Amino acid sequence: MMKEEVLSVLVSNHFGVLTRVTNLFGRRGFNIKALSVGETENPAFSRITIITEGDEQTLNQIQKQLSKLEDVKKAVIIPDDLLISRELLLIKVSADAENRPQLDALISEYSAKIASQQSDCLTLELTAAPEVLNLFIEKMRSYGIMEMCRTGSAALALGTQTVYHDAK
Amino acid sequence: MLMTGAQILIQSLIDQGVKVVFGYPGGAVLNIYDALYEKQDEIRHIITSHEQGAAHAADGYARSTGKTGVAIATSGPGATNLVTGIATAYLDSVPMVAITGNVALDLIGRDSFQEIDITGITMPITKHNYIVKDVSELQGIIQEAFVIANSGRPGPVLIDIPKDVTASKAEYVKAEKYKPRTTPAPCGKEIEAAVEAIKNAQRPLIYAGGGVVIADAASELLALSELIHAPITASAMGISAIPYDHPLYLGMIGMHGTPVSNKACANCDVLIAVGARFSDRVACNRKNFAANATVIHIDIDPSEISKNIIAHLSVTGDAKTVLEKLTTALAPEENTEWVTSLMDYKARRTLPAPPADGHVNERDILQHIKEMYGGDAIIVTDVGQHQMIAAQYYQFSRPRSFISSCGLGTMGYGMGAAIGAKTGNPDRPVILITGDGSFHMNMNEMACAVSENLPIIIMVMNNRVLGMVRQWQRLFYKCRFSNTSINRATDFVKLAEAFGATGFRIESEDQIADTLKKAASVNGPCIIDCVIDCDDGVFPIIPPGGTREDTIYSNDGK
Repeated sequence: MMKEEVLSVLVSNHFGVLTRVTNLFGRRGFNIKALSVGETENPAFSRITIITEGDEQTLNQIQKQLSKLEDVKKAVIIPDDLLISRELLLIKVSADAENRPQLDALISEYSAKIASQQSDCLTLELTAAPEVLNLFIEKMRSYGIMEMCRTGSAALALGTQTVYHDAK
Repeated sequence: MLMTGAQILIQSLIDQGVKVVFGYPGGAVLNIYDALYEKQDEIRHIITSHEQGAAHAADGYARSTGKTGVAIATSGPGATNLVTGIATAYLDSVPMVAITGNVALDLIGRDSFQEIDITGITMPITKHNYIVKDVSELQGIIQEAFVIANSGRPGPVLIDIPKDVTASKAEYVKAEKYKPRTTPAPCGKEIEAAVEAIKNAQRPLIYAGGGVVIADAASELLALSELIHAPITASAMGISAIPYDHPLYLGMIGMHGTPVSNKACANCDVLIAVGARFSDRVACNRKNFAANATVIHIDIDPSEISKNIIAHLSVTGDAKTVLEKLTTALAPEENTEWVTSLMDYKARRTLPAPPADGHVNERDILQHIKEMYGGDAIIVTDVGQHQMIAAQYYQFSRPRSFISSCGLGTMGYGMGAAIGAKTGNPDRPVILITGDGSFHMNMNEMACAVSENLPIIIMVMNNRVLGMVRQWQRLFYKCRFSNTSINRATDFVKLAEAFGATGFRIESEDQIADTLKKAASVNGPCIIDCVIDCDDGVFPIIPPGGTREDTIYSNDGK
């Protein structure tokens, strides 16, 4: 059975590490649905968050193969019940006097922000769980999406346990 | 002490216990070779004919000795020429450190002369690789490379060093020889579960892989087998770990395995896989493999567990430790009925015997080699029919005696590997079994073997065709022999002489013993051209993706 999971990967913060990680996904035929990367509070480490999909055996392989990379200090799948996941969306939609009231209502409903507005278009900003972004994007379609950009998820697990637990 | 990067590199190799390196000089490694010149009394450099040969030599050295093989090449083409050798070592878990020069830092990224992104190229075929951008990091990186190459499941590590880094100076401090990282002790619960399953087994089977050789666990494996009365089969990587005449040994498993091994695998109720990875040449059909068994997978690499075959139980850890723990926890068992039925089948369903028609047959040659050298010989092979026949028929009795590219299947591996094996084992006879196809790929290394005066006996199984591919064309492509009847005009005796070596030819069976004796007395490499039948095949064969029921036993497809 195929399942979507959030992988949190703590890696050494130096050049080439992201290539090693994505190269592994490529050559073993693993799927990357979204990816985000950034520094952590410790300048020695970066954190890569990957949304991936596979059956149980594949997900298990992804985690184990990643753990074998020298630059990967820890790779964990964050369980659904502990997952806090947020993603940023920037979306540019056509706007005019006629549709503006409806757009404003949606902006307010989703707690989105107006990042920039021109006479004929709005650039909206929304930070939320990825599935909320999906709903918002669907709602925007009828207004004419000119372009959009998603960052990929940032994710942490609930509670006091951290990715540093048992890290190499 | 302040030293140049090149001096630090060479001194660090010496610190890590390296006695010999295989390589080829070039522009980007001039500083490195200059530093080698200073230390030529402490570290031996063997210059091969081609960088690929150097990589295979480092590999053959490592497989036959258990030490780390080291290869050096220049930037660009020198580095890319190592690639096949590094991949070969990666697939068979061979500890290797490959060192490449690169162009100076300010020339990198500009498509400069002989510049290549070798760390990018070798990322999927190394355990780890480095490009050293700061000379002060070099010493630490070299030691770390040896640690990585030898920790857990061994494998190749590449260090790419730009030319200016080999020239600039840094402080060198005498370093200790590397210590591999400690492998975590196997989990007690995993051991308990495995013990419980083995206790309840009526028809246990042990499947040994290359991990048994690497972990030096051959005697522990035999101890477990004897204690629980479990027959043993092995992958090509594992065959040298089990003495051919052990009463519980069934022979090789898989595509060209013995009929009894594949029968045992189909019928066992518990399969204990040790340091093996269920490759498609073993588990030809993944879904049907050991279908009636609880699979217990013992491996040092956690990612091997349930990669190819779902393991019902597993123990992650060093094979030697895990086998010892299992043996301690288990009591003697008797599975007489199971073992007797298999041994009866083994005696009935033997591998095909060579016809007694006076013609030269590799199977007879292998028997003669065994009779002549006992357990001493190191058998190196290339890839193809001759390789599988050697795996099937040679009577091994000592681990690290079968040096063969089993995972990548690299034709052209043998000549370099034999140079490495002989360099690492000057007192053991090294016999290269090769084919005319494989030998043509890298026979340039004869020049190196002659320069180093290495007494390697090279037996070219000369059938004038690419035998294994031709066999598949016969069986699976309706005898459409596309581009496999190479029929080269090469005279291997004259070729040997042209290289400054000695050549012999065997054209009938009665010449085998005498020629082997003559070859043994030659002080230097010799080629024996063994003229064999182009229609000989490797049997049995399970077609790719097939099961035991699909086994083919002869050229007529049955």
